[in-house]
Amino acid sequence: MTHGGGAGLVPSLAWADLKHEWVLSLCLFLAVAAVIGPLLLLFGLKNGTMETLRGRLLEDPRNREIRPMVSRSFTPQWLDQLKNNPKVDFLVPATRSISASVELISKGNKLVLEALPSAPGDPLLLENHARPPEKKECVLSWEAARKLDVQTGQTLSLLVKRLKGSGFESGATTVTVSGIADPRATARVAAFFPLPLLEAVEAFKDGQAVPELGWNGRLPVAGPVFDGVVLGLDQPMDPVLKVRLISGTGLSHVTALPEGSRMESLGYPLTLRPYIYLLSTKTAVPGSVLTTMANRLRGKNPLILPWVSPIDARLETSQNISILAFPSPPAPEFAWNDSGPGGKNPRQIILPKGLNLSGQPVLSLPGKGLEFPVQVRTDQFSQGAWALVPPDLAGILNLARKREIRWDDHKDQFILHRRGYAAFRMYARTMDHVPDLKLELEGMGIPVHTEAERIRDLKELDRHLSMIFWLIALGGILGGAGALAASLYASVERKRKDLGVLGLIGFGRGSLLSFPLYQALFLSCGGFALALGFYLVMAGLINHLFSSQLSAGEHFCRLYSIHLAAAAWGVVILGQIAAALAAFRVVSIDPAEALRDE
Amino acid sequence: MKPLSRAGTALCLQGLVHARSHAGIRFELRVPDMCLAPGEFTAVVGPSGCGKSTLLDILGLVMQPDRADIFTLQDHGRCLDLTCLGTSARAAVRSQNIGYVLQTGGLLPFLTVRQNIALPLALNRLKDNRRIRELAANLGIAEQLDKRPAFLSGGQRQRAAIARALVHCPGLVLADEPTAAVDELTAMEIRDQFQCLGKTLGTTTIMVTHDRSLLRGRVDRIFSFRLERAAHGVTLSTLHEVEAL
Repeated sequence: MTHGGGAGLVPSLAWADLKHEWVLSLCLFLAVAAVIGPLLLLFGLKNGTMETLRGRLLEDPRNREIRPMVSRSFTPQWLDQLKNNPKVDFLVPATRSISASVELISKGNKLVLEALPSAPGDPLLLENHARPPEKKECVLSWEAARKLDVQTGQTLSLLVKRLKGSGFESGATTVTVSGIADPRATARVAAFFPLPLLEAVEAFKDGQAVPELGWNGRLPVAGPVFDGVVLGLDQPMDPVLKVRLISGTGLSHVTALPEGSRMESLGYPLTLRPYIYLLSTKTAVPGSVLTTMANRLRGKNPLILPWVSPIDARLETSQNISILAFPSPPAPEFAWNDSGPGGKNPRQIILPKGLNLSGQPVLSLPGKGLEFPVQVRTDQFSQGAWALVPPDLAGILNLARKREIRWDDHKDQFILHRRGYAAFRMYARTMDHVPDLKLELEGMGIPVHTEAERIRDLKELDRHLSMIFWLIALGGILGGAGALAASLYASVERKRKDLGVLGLIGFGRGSLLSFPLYQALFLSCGGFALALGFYLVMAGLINHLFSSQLSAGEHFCRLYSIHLAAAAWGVVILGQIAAALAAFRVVSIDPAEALRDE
Repeated sequence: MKPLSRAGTALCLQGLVHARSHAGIRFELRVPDMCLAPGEFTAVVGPSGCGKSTLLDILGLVMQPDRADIFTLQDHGRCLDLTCLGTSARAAVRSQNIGYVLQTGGLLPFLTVRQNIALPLALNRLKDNRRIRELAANLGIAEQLDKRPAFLSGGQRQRAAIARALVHCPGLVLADEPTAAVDELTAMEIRDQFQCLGKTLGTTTIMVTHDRSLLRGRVDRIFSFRLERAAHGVTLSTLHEVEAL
């Protein structure tokens, strides 16, 4: 015999019973709501406040800023690598702070201020209502704008000064104020400029010319550096002389070159002295080392020639060739043409026989970006597979292996690019990335300053508030669940006879067991709905009351749908647990009680 | 109202023995033979403590007897063996084959009279509003269908309880002193309506009562209990049929 046991009827009976005893049911609804409502409000306050604080921390890019605490030369390659780190949101190189002060003049107001670099995407400016400056533009800090009494769109004169002898030299240009950052961006008297302008300022302060701005000065002309010196002596070098030549010259290795190995090491035969030595170094030395050597060997009739290790170069686009320095003295019958600036023309080359190049082919260093035309000497050939160039050109090519150099065709000069940047302005992608980046940079030996401690404090506050909330919630939940359990148990006791009648007329135990469970479900849902209404009204009121202290989108009291769904599930499950005792009591009711109690 | 066709024995209880002990005194209920035909209106009488409620518990399938040689109930031509049913099967038999009328009706206070009467139908996944209305009209409570039990008189409650007991056409109706809470005139009216409907529907009715005057000449069969002291501390109560009171 199969029988449904009345399971489908029980929800409607449970609901009918709640409706019949509506006063008691209302009290229970209110009891559940009285527990859940304040908890929702409390959690909403905790969540909303923390979200707002966290949002403000996140929104304020200063909390994501990572500042190096040391000034050193950061190469563009290293900075590019750091910029490409997925944890980094923004990075712009910075010039030396000592060279980064400029004077801005507006309608008679003069202000010396700190010049900071900026670039497109600068979060400090973008999140403080200022567009990052472009060419010939600047963004002023609030304080700088106040002192200068300027507005966005105004044009200012920019004055850069440098000390020369006993006086000052100055360079001037004009910049337009593209924006004024909010006060919270920085309290400093500062202006943000595009990096190229700051590089120009730094170069000018270093005494260099900035032709594009019309500022005079010297050119950063590249000078030759050598890997060593070829020394010819009439006598063998004694140990004392060896020490004397090494000490304080930057040279560290002394190698005797017997006649048979000279061609291979130097690229040309050297027979002007009987004893030839190669004094070399792993770090390049400037041309002045030749003078130093000459001074230390005075009276010994030395032959002193510069030397570079073989340089891999390319002629035109396809001809790879190794280049060595070829000084004039080893071949008295040969002289390089002196038709360049200052009576010198270093851009000459002697090629091996069989290399059919003439005129002025382009010589380049692969991967270094240096390209320039050279004059092929057709009257001479090297005695091997290598090419020979004047020592000055070899020294410059040697320098190009370490520093960025460009050929200025108009000035017929090799110009040095800047070596690196003294600092940088960097912002992590999120607040959570700050500690990781701090660790990474400190691991590279770069101490940095961050707001990591402030972030950690906030997280700690969040943890403590969560703990307090859960303690209060635990007390409330236990009290609420106890009240609900007691009420449902009392209700079952009160309705023992009615439940007995239901059992007598054929409701199965399972169906009867679900009676208080359904009632708990209805009470939980009703109580939660009431609590939700209470929460929504109170949260709206609180957020309205504090609206003047909140930005758009911020809330002091806020719960997301996921929180409310979780709370609803929690209340329902708690209600079912509370009803379990009553359900257990229902199961123990014997239908015979309905007969007997009559 | 269409009578239900029944043939043979509606209820057969033979060789029942059920004992209980309390405070060192053993009470033993014995039913040698109680077989009732369909539609029979039967009364069970006896003094307090003779085992009427125990018998009602056993017949109502809320108590399992210690022993019963035969305990069957007719269900639409099928013979149900009630001696070895489990809890849920007993609940199923109760919902389909047995109706109950309790002393004060046993109506659920949170349902209307109509909902109370409809409950056994709903439990059997049936719906028959016409039958509810006919039963209510026959019992004189048609006007009370949409009221809650609290607003009914004692007699009206009993009539509603009778309607609930009969609405799903059970083979057996057990009435435990259904007229105990009403006056004599109402009691007689209720008895007559109960008997008449039972006959019409072919339902076998067992009414337990103290009021012997209510039975005189109005019931088909009467059973009573014979009490005897079998030994020290042992009381035997045997159900037997009596010819007349």
